[in-house]
Amino acid sequence: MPSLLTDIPRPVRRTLQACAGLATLVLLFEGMRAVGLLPTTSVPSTGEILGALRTSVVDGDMVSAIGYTVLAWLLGLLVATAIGIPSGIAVGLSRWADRATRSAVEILRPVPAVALVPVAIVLFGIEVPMQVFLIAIACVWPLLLGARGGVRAVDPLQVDTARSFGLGQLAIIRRVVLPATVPAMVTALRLSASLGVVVAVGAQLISGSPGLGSLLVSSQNAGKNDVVWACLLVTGALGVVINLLLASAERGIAGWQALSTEGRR
Amino acid sequence: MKAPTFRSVTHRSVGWIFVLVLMGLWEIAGRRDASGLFPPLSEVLTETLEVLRSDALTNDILPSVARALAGFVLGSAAGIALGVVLGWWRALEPWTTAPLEFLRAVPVPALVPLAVALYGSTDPMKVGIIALGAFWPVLLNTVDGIRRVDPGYIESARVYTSGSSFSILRRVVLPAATPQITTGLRIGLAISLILMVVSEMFGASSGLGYLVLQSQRLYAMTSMYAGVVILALVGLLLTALFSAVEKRAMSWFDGMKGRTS
Amino acid sequence: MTISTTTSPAPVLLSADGIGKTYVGEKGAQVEAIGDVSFTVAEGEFVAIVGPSGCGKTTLLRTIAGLLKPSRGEIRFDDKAVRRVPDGFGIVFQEYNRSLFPWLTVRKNVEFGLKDLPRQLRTERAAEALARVHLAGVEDQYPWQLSGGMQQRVAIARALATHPRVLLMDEPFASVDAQTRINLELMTAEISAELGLTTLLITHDIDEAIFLADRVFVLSARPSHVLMEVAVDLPRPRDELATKADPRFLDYRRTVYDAIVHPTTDTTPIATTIPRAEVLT
Repeated sequence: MPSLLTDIPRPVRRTLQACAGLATLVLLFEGMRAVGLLPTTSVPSTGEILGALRTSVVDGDMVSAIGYTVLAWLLGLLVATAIGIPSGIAVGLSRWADRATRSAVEILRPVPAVALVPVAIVLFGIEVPMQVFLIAIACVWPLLLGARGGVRAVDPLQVDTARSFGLGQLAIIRRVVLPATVPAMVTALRLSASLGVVVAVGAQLISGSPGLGSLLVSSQNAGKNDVVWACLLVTGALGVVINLLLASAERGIAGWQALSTEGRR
Repeated sequence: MKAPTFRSVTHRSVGWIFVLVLMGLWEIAGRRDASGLFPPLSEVLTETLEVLRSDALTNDILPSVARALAGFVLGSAAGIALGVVLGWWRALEPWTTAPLEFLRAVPVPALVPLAVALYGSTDPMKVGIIALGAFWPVLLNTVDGIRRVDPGYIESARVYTSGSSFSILRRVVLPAATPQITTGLRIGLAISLILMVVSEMFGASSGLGYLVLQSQRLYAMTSMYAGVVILALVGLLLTALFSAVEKRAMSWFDGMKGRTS
Repeated sequence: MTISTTTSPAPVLLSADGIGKTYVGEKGAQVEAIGDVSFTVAEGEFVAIVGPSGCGKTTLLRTIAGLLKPSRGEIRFDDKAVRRVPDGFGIVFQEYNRSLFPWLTVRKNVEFGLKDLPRQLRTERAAEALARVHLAGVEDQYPWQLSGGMQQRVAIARALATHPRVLLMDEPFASVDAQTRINLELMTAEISAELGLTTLLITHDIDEAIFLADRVFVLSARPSHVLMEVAVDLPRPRDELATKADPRFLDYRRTVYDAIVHPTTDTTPIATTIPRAEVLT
């Protein structure tokens, strides 16, 4: 088998292997249905799921659910970035600001964002802004801590080098500290992005706010199991797309750092 | 010696003063709010204490904590175990990457309605969902951590162990990958906590999450906030517990990092 | 070809027979790191292999150690072919910070290779090895809390604790400062003399090779082969100042230096032995 595989060019081989892996997943799913590990009464077949996916896309339900989810996710991430990154840089640069806020951050960070769903409903109702609020709360911490850690990890030698070229405080921050922090921030963004999807779907489930989560619940209540599974398929695909985009961004931006440092966190 | 202790005390207190300021702001805002949607902190805390003193502690809160802890431990253990296999035997990588990328991308909360439909709103279901939430980040970080172990360590290990793959794995690769596995555990814990809440708020008829949601529906703002505070405390407690364990296990890493950076 | 310099030749403990190593480089091109290397190391002998940077020294050491499979030829240790790292090899790498385990204390690092021994014996062995490298009182610290020179001592102690029959050292002193380097060299000479330890040192430093070794093999640039073998006839114990001022030392040094800088025998990969008389005149 390996000798046969090594003759195929690497990218083609990789794609074939990936497809084989995915096919195995589908077979496993169908196998579990056939054996009875997944009850056929409530778990539809792959064909039925794909059929439901097509109809729900055609009648627009799925498209608007995806649209709302992506919109809330993007806005939430945007707000979290706008707040988290500057604050993270500030506490990274200023020991004093860090000391002043550290306890508050340590108390607030472990609060599971979805626990605030009721609060968010009271404050914002059950439309998209509520989701944005919750996503922003969940995602702000990784971004803040990522930016802070990135600033902290800047090699003092690089700062001294910049100083030896006569750069002032602000110029050092802009031309040395910030560029050196970018990879850490992109990593934090990737983490926040997947966290954002989790919180978005969780909030939609609980509150009925529009999106894939609520489509999932309403389909289930209507007994449309095939649509429920189609929703799962779509959330997975959405997650894959988001991960791939951010991973390639991370590789692009952080490439030089991966090469230049031995250990990354 | 006198100056540093004085300084470290002020350093710590500055942080707490800020926390107190935030709490004060909540109190003032609550008192000025006429809509009744934003009760002052003092009322929320009084209510919180009342809930903590009632039988809700043993009926709702402790079971929540136990489920979160059980799910987190089970999910992490499974994640580390599978992560070691996938990280160490690299021939598996090209076959498993695509299916795993898809499975892990399905946000675990999306599985909650199905799980409730299939298994009911039971303890094993909730523990399973929480475990799945912890599983993915731990798995991914373990795989990554093991792949990134410095080949220098493995080479030394091959010189000074009898050369068996298993003993190199156990004595060198796993310890060397601990920092990144710990990163995965920390993310896993945060997601476990989110799922603890989701699994209680969705389709449940009892439990802490249900209580909070019910209070919101009844516009009982003070008890709603008290519930949120308790959920926050549970998160804080489990995170603190994790940090304590982490600190002991990772003292070498923190020390080394402090020295080199 | 070789002229034995000792009156009663000790048995050969370690040998390389026509070792070659070709690997596939990044762009799929074949890189020939080691052309054709043969040598022997007798029991109790201190042999140094010296070569220009980038001549595949580290590849050679890893191949000798059994960490890499040679593409051609064979390494033999104690009359058996080396296929993986044999028991009885102690290896010291150049990059101590990548070979000592940062999550273990100094003591645990030194005891690392002794897992199968009872605890009592482990402790004794570790203490003995740490004493040999003149390290005491740092057992409970972590390696990264020590200076580079001290870390390399720990690495040497870790190798010694296993009571190796051969000590392999790959540029062990290349990452420390000059003063520390001299101290470590003297210590290494002392240890291998006291224990009668068979030692193979790989280095780019001509002085270090001559100062420490009984015999020096000079490697060519890539693909490496042995340009020359020099038997070093200098009295022991050697002294940093006296030995390095000895005219014979200077002759050896010039010979090796010329061989590396003007490798006239580059095209003929045959070991050339310098007759002792020639060197002495």
